[in-house]
Amino acid sequence: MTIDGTNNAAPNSLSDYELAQASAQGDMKAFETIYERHHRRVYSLCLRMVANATEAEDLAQEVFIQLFRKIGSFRGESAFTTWLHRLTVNHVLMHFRKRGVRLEKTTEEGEIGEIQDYLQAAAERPRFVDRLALDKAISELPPGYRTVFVLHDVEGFEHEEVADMLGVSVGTSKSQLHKARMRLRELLTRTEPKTKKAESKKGTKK
Amino acid sequence: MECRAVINSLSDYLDSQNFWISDDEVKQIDTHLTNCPACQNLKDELGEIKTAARELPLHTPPRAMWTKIANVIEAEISAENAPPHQPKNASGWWGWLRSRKFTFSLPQLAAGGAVAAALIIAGISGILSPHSGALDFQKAQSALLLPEEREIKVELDRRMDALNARKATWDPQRRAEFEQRMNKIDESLNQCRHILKDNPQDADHQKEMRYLYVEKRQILEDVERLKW
Repeated sequence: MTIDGTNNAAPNSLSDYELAQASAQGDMKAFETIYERHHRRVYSLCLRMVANATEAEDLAQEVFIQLFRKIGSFRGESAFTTWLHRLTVNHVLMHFRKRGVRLEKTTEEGEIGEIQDYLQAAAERPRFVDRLALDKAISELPPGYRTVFVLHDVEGFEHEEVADMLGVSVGTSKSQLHKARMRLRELLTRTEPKTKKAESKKGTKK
Repeated sequence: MECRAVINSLSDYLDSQNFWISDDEVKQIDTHLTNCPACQNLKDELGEIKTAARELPLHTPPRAMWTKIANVIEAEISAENAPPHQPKNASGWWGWLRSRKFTFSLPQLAAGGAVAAALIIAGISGILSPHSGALDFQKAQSALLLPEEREIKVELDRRMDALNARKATWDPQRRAEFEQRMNKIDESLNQCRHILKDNPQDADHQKEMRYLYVEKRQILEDVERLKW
């Protein structure tokens, strides 16, 4: 179907599937509507995975160009968002492989540091997680931890899917996710004492 | 259960208590958490990170991103719609050349039929009156019916002249096929000219003429590239 001529429906009123079909016929207006609906999510996903704005922009662009080429193969069997996110993740992972980004190798039983430190830090934890701080902390994670965390916790993929995409075992995916969360907690609580320290210094000066 | 074992299982505990770890282990962790505020805090904190991760703010890419994407896609569409050219090798070139066919719409075929009939009549009348009919036909052939036609003809004539000098050295079969193809294009061009002479605004035949010139130019370019 097309959204011009024979069909007077406004692009915004059409479903992703209908827009995908129109795009597959070369309808740029329909494709632009798909872009408008999904570009922020695709760009954010790329940005969280590569932690670099320029690289993320290039990747998001490539994803949409690839999407246009492949859009005819979307049959509506799954949600368009799921399909698009899978396409995006695969594209970024391909980029990692080309660039030689090595995802950290950890065993399923990998150790996570001194227990006492975690427990002490946990006792001083902030009352809630600041989303902006979390976003920044994600960008500071090592690539392997970041990838698993973004795929599982941000994007909602299951461990089996993550393991399949990354070519690792489910155990490794679980282990990396746990380490990523622990590291994030560390990064988030590390910024907190600094602030307190700065405040107390200011107080002293007064 | 010790703190270390609980901490190592906390993510599994948070993600899917009944899937990754056994019911028995879940009970042990529950008991430990009730009695260990530090582990309980850690569990809450990891839970908050997990929850917050699903609600992260979206980032907005630069506005120019769509323009760049649209430019690439539109260029690809234009390239796909362009007539095919640039065969890979000599044998493929002839295969391609043979496979290329002119396609005419029904009105064009009807017009072509009319032209053919007109040519037969002109031929008969030429026999009866050798001067007038032949003269009209030559006029039609030499008349410029497209604004850019003079320029095209100069370019193609120059290319043909260069080629004619070498043509004698070609394989006879190859030469025959080339000439046959060029003659067919010229015939079609002349038919268009005749129709346009009567109706200079006929957009279909103007388009057809342009297509034929492109066809002719492509053949000449291929021959030059292959250094026949």
